[in-house]
Amino acid sequence: MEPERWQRIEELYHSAVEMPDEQRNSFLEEACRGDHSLVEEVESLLKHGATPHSLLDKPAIAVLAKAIAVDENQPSAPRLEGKTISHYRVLKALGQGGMGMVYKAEDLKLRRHVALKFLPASLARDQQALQRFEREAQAASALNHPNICTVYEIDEAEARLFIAIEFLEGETLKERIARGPLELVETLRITTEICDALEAAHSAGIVHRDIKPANIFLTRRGSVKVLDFGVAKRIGPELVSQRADMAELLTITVDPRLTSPGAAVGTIAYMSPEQAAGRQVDTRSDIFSLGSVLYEMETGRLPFSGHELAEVIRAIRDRQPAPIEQFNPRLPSELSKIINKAMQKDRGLRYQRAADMQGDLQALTDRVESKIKRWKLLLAPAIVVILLAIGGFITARIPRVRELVLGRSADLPRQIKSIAVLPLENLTGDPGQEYFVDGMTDALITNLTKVGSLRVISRASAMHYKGMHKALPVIARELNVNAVVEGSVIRSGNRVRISAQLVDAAHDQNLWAQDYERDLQDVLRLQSEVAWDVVKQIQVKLTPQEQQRIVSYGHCAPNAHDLYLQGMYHWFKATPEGYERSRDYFEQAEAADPNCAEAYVGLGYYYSIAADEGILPAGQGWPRTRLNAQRAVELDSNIAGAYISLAAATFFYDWKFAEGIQQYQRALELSPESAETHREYAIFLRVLGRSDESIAEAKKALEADPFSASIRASLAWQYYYAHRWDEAINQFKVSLQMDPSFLAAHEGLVKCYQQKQMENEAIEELITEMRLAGADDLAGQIRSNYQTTGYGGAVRGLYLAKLHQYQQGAKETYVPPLVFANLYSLLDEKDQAFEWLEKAYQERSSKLTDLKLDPDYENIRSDPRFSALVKKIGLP
Amino acid sequence: MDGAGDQATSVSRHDVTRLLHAWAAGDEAALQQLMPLVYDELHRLARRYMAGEQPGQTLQTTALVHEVYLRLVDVKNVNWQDRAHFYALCARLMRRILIDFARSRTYQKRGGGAAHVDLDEAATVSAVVGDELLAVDHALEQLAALDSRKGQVVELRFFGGLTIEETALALRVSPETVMRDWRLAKAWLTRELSQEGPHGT
Repeated sequence: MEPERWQRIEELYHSAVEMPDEQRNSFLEEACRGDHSLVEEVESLLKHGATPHSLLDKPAIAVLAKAIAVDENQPSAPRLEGKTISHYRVLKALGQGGMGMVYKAEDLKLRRHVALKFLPASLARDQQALQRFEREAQAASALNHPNICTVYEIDEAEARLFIAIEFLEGETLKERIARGPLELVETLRITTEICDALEAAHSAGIVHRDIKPANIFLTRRGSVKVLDFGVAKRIGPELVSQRADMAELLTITVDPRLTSPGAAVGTIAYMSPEQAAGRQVDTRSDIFSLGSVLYEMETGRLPFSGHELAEVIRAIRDRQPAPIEQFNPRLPSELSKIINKAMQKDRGLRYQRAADMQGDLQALTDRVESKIKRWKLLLAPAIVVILLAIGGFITARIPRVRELVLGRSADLPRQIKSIAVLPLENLTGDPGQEYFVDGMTDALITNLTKVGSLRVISRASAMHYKGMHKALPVIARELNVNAVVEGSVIRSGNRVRISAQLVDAAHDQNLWAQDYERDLQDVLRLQSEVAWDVVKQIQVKLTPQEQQRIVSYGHCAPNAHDLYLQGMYHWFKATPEGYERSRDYFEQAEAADPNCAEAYVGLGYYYSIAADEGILPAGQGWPRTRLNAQRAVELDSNIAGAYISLAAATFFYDWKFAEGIQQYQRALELSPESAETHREYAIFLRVLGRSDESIAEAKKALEADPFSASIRASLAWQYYYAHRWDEAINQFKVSLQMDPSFLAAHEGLVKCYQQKQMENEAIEELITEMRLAGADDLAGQIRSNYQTTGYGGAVRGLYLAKLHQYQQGAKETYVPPLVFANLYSLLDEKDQAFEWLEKAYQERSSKLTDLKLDPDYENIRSDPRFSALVKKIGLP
Repeated sequence: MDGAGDQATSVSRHDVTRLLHAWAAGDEAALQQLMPLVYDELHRLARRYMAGEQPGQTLQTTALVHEVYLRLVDVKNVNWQDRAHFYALCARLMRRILIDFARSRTYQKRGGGAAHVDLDEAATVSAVVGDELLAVDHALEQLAALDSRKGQVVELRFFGGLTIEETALALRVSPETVMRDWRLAKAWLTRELSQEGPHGT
């Protein structure tokens, strides 16, 4: 290719890639001026650029190492993964099925995923197993029904017999029942769909013979699939079109060669009496089994049980199951009638066809649903009538009564002004997924904070309730909110399922509940969707901008978003290791998807804290903060965090205070209810000497996040810089009650006691702080110095020890100059202090912005060099 | 890190740096000596991956790759002017060794014959990945012929495991340029690889 042409392709590619899809075509047509091969070339690159190539997303060494790890982790059984068998490429083992190993595979001809079920080698010579295996394939492949797992083919390759079946993701009904009771409407829907499948199978002359929860599959998309026709029996094509009253003729004889006479093939507990007795079975046997399944779904227990096989069989033949009302009195009597009819011992008295049972189920479903609707309709007028009867004066005088009654109604607008999102529950059972589930909680909180008129409890206080099973009304009281969102997340492979519900907290009453299930690809859209649905329920007034912000979401590649979530998980630990790990993840997120705004927001966070805490020199940290925040803003202009970082760089590094405050407004606008936004803003205001506003802002943060030790401490610090020692002491103490090991709060307390000249308290607190920081030797030194030389000597000794430590440290690593300036000032060594202050000034240390208010500089404050420096920085 | 351990690794690190320079100067024998060291690291990484399967542990690829470098090479003693060159050298070395390794794995797979059955079973997954790596390597040569800087970006990022900023440093261009190059190169390679099919050789 000519270099000029390649250059042209490159230019066009980069221009077009930034455009929305619909603009690209016309742009390219125009720019290429009739050169169609050029258009094609760029388009094909755009197409392939949009499909993430998993192999290139990680460094080669990691790819290879992981592959070796997978190899070496395999059990010694023959491995099929990676092999191509017939036209299937085997991808991974899914598990041990009833009849052999099941693998996920790719159909190379049709380019779709399938499940391959292999007859185990040990059974390959077992004629009975072989026939059963083939029968499953034949039986099910004769059926084409949305509620029956499709069998594509049966084949043999490399001396291995296998069947290719539809690849399903989800769980079996058995697993679902084990998780907890099902809603009545859900039970009815599942049973109705199984009836549909059975009707189709029976009409095709096939009896399943092993209907049980383990053979019913609930896919993630919500449909029901009947599995495993391994023991199904074909009745013969001539009988297929028989009418219902001819069902008796459909009777088949159990083939003695396949199932030893009298032996029961299916799982005993769900068998029909005739099947358990080893007699002839027909389509009505499946109906009995389905009755048993329905019974279990509603009661959570088996209709017939016993310690021994013989006991169970006797019960099935001779006994009546305990009435379902006994376990669940709220069930409609129609349901119990349906179950009774399906489970008649005499098959002539059962439903004769699955379609009949389906009809009754459908009628019941309609009644239940219309009842729900009627309730909704009736409830509202009833309350209005009551209110009118009581008389208007009560509602006027005691508004609470009105609120109470309205809050209970199902359809009237709800007065929800404050809300807490409790940590979503991780239902994957894998603690390694915590970061993902926490991330979803976080996203929901962040999305809700975009609503200006809604007070939303922030992350730390919500997380406070993680794993704590307190009653919702109690939680709501503690957090002072009137509604709570709770729910759970399951992530499995590429699917995510969120169940969310909104609860009227005071009355512990469900207002709304919904399940969402999506591809992992769509997780960002899903997050905004859930938030939007919640907002719709609470019916707050939204500005068009707020509305737009909630429904908009970022566009990160799923793996990049996932890495970002892992990064934030570590970020919130707020430890030095946590910060460093978070940076690693953010960088990986960036590498995985250079267009992922979140990755840059994360990096912006990291560099701002690294710069502010003096991990990096200001000149290395702040420009990177800005660069990353700018990239984030370019990619997505709706993320408050990016504007916080941008404003912080302007304010604390450029020392352009007015401009920084100006930039901050955008963050406040985007996330008016987040604790983090208010906390940061409080610091801006304090630097400007607007202490009352700063304290008010810190209190707003606290309202949104009442259980966060760090937010509490941040209010304390605003009091401290306002020189309101007593209030600061109180707040530091509360913070320490929440987290006794919170070092910054101990440090603050020491400083307050020092200001108040509470010498004993200051020394004791100092010792506690040093111990917690792992400096036991220093703690001991302070105590002995205090005894021998008194307060002044002990404190001075500490400053000198610290000075020595930092001087040693500076030989190895970077120590911010302001650390030395601070210590020299406390030691009253003015010249040294100013020398280091000048260095800090040259470096533009962000902490210099507190110079004016910081009591640590009391000793040098009256020096003319001090006011000159304050002026140079431009502090008001 | 305790002093004794540090001592031990810095000896081998010194060796690696020396070998690396020797290899860069054209001494192919040096590569033969470097290989086992890198293989050890590869297996160490693999073990970490296996350990990482346990709940609660997650793996950070970037960190791991950097750790490999730190263990192999005495980064501290490479001065800043040389660092760009050093990065490029490491990436080239990693590419050579990883591709050789991938080739040996796929060779095992294709060895055929009854005697190879066990090997066949043991090498399945990495053989597939090996095939894919070889395909990337091949496509990368073509990309480099078309646009040498993009070829270098891929070599540094993919084979060298460097971050955007490190790559920018090594190539003396801005991180934005690296990002753009990487993006286009990925699109181009993805297209090449899909045309050849996942099993292309």
